Amino acid sequence: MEFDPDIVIRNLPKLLDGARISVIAFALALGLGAPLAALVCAGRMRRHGFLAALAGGYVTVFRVIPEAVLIFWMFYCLPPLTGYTIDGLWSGSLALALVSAAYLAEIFRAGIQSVPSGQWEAAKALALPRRTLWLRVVIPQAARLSTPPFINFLTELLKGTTLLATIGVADLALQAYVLGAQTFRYMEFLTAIALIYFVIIFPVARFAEWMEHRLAASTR
Amino acid sequence: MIDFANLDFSWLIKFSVPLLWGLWTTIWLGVVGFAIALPSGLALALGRLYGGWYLRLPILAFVDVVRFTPLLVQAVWIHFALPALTGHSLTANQSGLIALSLHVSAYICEILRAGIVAIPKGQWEAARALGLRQRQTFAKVILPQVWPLVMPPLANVSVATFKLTAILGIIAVTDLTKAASRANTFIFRPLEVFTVVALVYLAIGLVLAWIAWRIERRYGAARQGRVAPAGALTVPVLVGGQRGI
Amino acid sequence: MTQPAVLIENMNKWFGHFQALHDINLVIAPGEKVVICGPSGSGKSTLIRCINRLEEHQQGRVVVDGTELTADPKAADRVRREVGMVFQQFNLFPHLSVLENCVLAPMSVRNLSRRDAEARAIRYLERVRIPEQSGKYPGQLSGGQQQRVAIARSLCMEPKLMLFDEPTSALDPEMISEVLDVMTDLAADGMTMVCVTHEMGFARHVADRIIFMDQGHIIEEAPPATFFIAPRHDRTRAFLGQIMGH
Repeated sequence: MEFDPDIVIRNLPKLLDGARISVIAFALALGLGAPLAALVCAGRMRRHGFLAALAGGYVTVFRVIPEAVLIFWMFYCLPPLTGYTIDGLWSGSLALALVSAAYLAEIFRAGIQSVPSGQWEAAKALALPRRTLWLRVVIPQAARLSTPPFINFLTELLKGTTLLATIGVADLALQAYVLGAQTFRYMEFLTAIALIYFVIIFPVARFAEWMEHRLAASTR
Repeated sequence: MIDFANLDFSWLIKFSVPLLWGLWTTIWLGVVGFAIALPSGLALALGRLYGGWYLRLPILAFVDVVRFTPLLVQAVWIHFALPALTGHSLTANQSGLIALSLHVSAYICEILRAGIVAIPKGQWEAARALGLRQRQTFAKVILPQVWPLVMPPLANVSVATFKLTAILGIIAVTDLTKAASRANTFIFRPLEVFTVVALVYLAIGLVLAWIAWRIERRYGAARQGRVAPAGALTVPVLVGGQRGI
Repeated sequence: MTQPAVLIENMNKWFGHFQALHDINLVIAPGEKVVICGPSGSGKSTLIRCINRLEEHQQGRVVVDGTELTADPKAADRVRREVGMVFQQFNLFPHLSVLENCVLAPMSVRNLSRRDAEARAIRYLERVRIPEQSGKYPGQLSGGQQQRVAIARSLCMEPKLMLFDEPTSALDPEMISEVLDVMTDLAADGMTMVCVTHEMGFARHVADRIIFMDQGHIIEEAPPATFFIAPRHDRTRAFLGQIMGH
């Protein structure tokens, strides 16, 4: 068979439409997921009580259930449950947001917990108020430590947006698949989008890795 | 709004055979996929660490391409694009199994590599000073120390493998998700169908996560005692346990 | 009679089932310098950490500067505002410059303006003899310099009492004296000090009183002259023999 890259170029507008949908899903999932993650993390930081249990349960459930299953569930069940028609892009992004919140909450928590206990003690011994303790001492250090796993998570989320294809949202992956089916040129289209994802994710993931090495070296 | 008195679960019995068949497909795909990925991952890790450049470079490329592209794209590529190259078409299950085990083996390779690298050089030197050969050192000294380090992340990857099976419906693998979708097209009771399916997945996932948690607790102490160089172990742990989608 | 800086009465402390401190009684007068020594695991760090409630005691009374430490977090806060602490591991905030480390608490706890807080910080950094390092980050300083910054950071709160928890134990030998010199100066200026340390030279010159602890008990307390020349207790003698014997 001959490989015909031109066919990809000719269909670039459709692929760009798909890319736009992927970007929207990514932004929605992150924009809704990150604030929710902060709340869940606050619950996780408590040692006892209802909120701690709730946050713990949330993290367990949303990390264990397959994302694809959750996306299906939200797509089919949100409309009858709420009485509204909800677009697949929205319900799918919401599902990704719920899952993201669980993972991000754990990333934030790990960052906070890796701030050495001496830092907390020094802040206490200086009688720093809670606000100052969190805003000036704990969060800046936790943020530094959380950055590499956070960046890694962004790459995972980008890969996760392709799952919206399973409910027929015309993201980049589905566009390529459909174009492949219409033209019988699967090889060209599917290789092209695999390359696109790789070219975006590879440098970002490598950067996160480099940063993690540097952080580990500086804290030793 | 939904009327909860009108929920109807009678279809569960009518469609029990295809649904159970879907569940079976999900389970065997996950188990066999992981079983293939584990030794493949080890072989890749060894090749990546100790092979010549002609082994190391292709493995590095393979692992990166697999980790940095979505499984959904890989599955679709293997099922639809690859036959154009090879001239053989594969069944959905074959493509799905290949995609899943390749994907997971790349993650396992990274975990094992990080685990092996985490063993201090002094262990190699001490073994050499005692007159052990390289192969003996690896089998008798290094590997036994690697297992406790990598058990928790491997357990997380097993959970991830199970979750990933739900993606394979895109290439018409009739796993539980796909079987449920099909059943739903006949009876159109999405709320009941997908809630039941989600709960089944949740139940299996919780059991796996519980096992992973037990392993983590058992081997967690071993991991704390040793600082992996540059936190190398943490990357695959997060990614593996995360949505390795 | 003036109010004691620290008053500890019949204090007991447990970690789970392990009793870390047994029936501690201790009164420290304002201006007094007390050195606490003893083998590792004797409870000396735990005792000093009970004074600013980094550890909670389960029985007895701990009164610091007239405030009794209880479960009420406000009491701990009031005490901590007046009590500085220097840690073995320095515990400087690594993401803040030396100057920021010093002005953080005065600005947020004492509500000082940045200008006043910085002026004060410079004054105390001069006192610990490193004003020129104020723009650097802790990671760029030697251990001895970091510990002196930690002392300055505490002094910026102008505390009535300073606690030192093995301040020289994590230092390379050549840096110990620069820290001890600063502590000696501080003592000469009349600061009330409680120091957990193995530096017996410092104890001999600076302390008004030396307390020897073993297995959670206060075994012996005496002025340095008596303590070093005529220790009453066998365990004290054994400890002194080990620490000075070579």
